Amino acid sequence: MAEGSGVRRFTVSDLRKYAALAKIKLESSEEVRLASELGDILGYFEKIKEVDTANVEPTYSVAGAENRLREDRPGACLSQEEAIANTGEKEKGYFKSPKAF
Amino acid sequence: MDTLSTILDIKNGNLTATELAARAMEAIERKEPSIHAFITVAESALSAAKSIDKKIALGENAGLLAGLPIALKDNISVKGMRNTCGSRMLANYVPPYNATVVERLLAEGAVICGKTTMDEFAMGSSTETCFFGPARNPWDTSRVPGGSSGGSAAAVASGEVLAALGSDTGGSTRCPAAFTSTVGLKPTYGRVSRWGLVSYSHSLEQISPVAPDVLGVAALLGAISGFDSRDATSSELEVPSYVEEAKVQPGKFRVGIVKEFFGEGTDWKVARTVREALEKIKELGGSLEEISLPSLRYALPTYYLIAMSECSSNLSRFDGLRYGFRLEAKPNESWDELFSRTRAIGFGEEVKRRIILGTFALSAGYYDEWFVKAAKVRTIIIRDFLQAFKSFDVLAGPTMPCLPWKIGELADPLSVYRMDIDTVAVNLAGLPAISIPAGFADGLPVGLQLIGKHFDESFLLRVSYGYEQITEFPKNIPVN
Repeated sequence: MAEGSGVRRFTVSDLRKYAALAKIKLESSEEVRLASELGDILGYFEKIKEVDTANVEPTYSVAGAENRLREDRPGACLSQEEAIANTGEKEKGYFKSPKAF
Repeated sequence: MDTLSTILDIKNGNLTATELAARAMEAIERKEPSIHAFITVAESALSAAKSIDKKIALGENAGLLAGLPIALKDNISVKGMRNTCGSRMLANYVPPYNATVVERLLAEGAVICGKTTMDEFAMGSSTETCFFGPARNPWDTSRVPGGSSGGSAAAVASGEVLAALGSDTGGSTRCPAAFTSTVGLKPTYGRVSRWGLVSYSHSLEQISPVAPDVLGVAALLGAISGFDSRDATSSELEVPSYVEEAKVQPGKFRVGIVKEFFGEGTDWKVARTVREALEKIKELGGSLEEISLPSLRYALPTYYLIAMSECSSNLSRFDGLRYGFRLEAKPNESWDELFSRTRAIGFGEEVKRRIILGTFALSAGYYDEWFVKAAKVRTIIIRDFLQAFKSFDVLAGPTMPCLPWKIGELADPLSVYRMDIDTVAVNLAGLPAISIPAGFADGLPVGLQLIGKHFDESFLLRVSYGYEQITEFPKNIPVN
């Protein structure tokens, strides 16, 4: 996040950094517009910084954060055939990935 | 005819499930060119209906919803039926299993007629971000039906089906219910299992029923609610008979009219229609009093920060490897390059905006400043609601601040986000809320939103059913 004349902006280089982290390869033709849109949205979000949250715990779930434990018993599950039915590329009953390294 | 009378007619042999399914299929064929409520129509509906009729003929228990033609939002998994989430990414994805709610609906004899048009991955308030094109509002087909469950509400409003399920992450069922003059109920977080719902923002969303009338919604809610070991956030609380609960007189009750829901940006015609509807709530025994929840001013950015953050994580599963869209690899292309190209093309604009901003809000250095901050403001919003419920039985206001807009009218993302101003706080707090028809302004539907205490759907249904009895809303029929 660059700071320019007191106004925070979401720059094209910010955009590239977070798009890369999100594994989305943007076209250079869409970068300027997208960075500007995201900057406007973040500018609107700034409003929450007015709220005094000292001594306030964050809420990540309203269902309560208790773990639900159960015995580890085998149950019904998908067959290997069903599990790979939706992939475009498979080999010998496995998902086929391009090289990862 | 209302939803429950139709079910009763099938049970009593005055109508067959097959006749009703054939009627739905005929209506879908006739209306789809102008409404586009469906992405996929289920060819299996007629044969499913026939097997229901067979059960009834043999005197077997065919279920509480036997023969009810229903449509499901295209993010609720039905085994063997294409599930696109309104996205190119999942254009050819066929789930190998049923969502828990689908298992429960089938056990109760509902007949699935198809999968409905939605904003891509439920990110939107109009269905305009759907890869397959938007659904249209049956009251005026140049306008949006609301979203993101717009197809589900449009299919009910146009009479294609008698009931539907949507999902509601920040208003996605209540908004289209308001825009189409139908009834839509967002259950308490944890009331309904999310297993088999393609996740967008897991701490906010619930699968939510839509029907033309309150008892239809009550019957659906009863069928889909309850604990499911496959969703660790689902509640073990007993499920009441919502249909019976809805018929109980609400008695004397206190309604808090939330001042912030009538704030700047609210169309005065919407506000007037909702205030007139609230006057009728008085006839039911409700006393009206204005209340202010100041933290609601921050609900919209809080909601969007949390939803975007959660979506950036939930949608990371779409890498083109195990399911979904995948580009052809270039020679020697790496995993990283191929999947980054695939995601750039597989996802639409709005989805990419939210994933990238969510990734930013969760990233090292900004996590506390944005995501944790929003989670803390969420705590304050919840406190304000719980405080308000010490003095009131229900909170009320407009569902949407505006009338359904023209397709294409709202171009920039922020102006669409602002339309969720009255719906998102409910999801942050995990509360149940219902949108019921308040009336019309300029010939377009307006929704009245009622918000209840946690797990008190029954009271919302009582007030809503009472209101339905003294108004004419089920009798209005759209032209399309």
